[in-house]
Amino acid sequence: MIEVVGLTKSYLTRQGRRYVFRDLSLAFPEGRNVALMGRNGAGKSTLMRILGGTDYPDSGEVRTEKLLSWPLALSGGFQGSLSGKDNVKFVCRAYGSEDELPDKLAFIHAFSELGDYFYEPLKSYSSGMRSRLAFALSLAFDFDVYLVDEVTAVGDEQFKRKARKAFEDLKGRASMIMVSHDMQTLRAHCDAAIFLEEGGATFYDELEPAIERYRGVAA
Amino acid sequence: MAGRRKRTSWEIQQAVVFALMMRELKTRFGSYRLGYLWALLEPLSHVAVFVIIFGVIMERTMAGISYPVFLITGIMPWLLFSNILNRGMVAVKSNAALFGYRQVKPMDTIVTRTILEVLIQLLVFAVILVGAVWIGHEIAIVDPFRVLAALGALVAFSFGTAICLCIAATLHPELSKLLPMLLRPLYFMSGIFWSLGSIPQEYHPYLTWNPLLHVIEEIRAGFFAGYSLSSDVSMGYVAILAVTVIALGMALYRQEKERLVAT
Repeated sequence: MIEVVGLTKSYLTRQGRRYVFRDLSLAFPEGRNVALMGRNGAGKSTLMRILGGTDYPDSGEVRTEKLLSWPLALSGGFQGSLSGKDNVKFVCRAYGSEDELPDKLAFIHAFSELGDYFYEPLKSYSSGMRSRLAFALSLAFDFDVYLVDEVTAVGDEQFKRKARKAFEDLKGRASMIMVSHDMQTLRAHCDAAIFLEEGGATFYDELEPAIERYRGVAA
Repeated sequence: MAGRRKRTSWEIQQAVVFALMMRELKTRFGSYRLGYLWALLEPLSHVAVFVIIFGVIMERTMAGISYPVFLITGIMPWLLFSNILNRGMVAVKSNAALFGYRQVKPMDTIVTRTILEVLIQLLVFAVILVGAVWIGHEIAIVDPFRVLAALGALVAFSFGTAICLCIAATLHPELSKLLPMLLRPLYFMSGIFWSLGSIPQEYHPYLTWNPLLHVIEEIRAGFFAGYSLSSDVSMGYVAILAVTVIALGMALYRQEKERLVAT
């Protein structure tokens, strides 16, 4: 269970302070794969970053005992002049896996299907290769909850299938919170939804009504 | 995979600093060999400039001390200080993308850059000294511990200052432009190419507020036998300043650490 309590987050814009959330409280139930929905600017990515502990609210807090991943589409932490291998080595070390480094590197190398590119500087990667690496990296860790931000737009058809399969395999041992504007992707992975609108949140025990609402809003 | 034991925050910080260090080493020196060379060339170019300008005069005024070696004992502490400040100030900004991994905290990036600068500059210092002996300069460090203690105080002072600067420059980026403006005059006031003993006593009060001057003079007293050390030089003063800036930096950090990362 992840609880968000009394969350307020605002940004200072040229037109003054703009609130993304005002005293938002919500709960992500245990073991459910939750779709985080809402229009552009509703605060989906902001909420993901706050859940991931990489951004901070003005007030309020996130309460959980779970181990949450970083927002999964994240590849911004990669350094262009370093090889793919050195880049993922950094994250493995930071997450305290010095002892398991060879295993993790072997897994990431194999799963990302980068072949020899694994040893080339990241700036020579295509965007597809880059996100394959980021995706493989996050699967190398045993998180309780994966924060997935538009990730299945990753790579080609074949890799997409593989990513979907990997998420299927996670079910039971880990759950996910997913942001996507693609309803097919959400249907494939999620069984509940939280809809963000105008600083508030509504929980849906089933996905379809939330998709209906999203269609209504987005249309 | 291994069982999941919760790591203490100290263990996490150690792992993160180590990871950052390996990453930074590879980024700075990995892709082109010139990186190593540049670390050596920078201090040597300073030496060359001053030897050309003052060499003849100074060789006469300082009996028994070779002027190039005298310069190096001033330039290396200076480079250590100014590199920790310059690199520490932008540590958070240049690593901003890494805070996407929650284990990585802003302080880790400042600590990493400080440790890295210490290792690099000490190595450069050693290489230059060995090189100087090899080409025939006579170097006998009379009190190595005194030199190390002075360097330690310098690192502490630089680290504390870097924390303060980094927080200020991350929250108010325009402030980062001030540092080069402040460092330039300080370079000439720190006794890098002159010694305090050669300055008339009545001018000392205008100079001795500068902790760098104390450190550099102290290092020379530990380096050269019979170096005439002014009684104005006080390591206690440097230590008090170091403790003060570290305490100030830590207090600021406690206050502002979330704002350093928040969007």
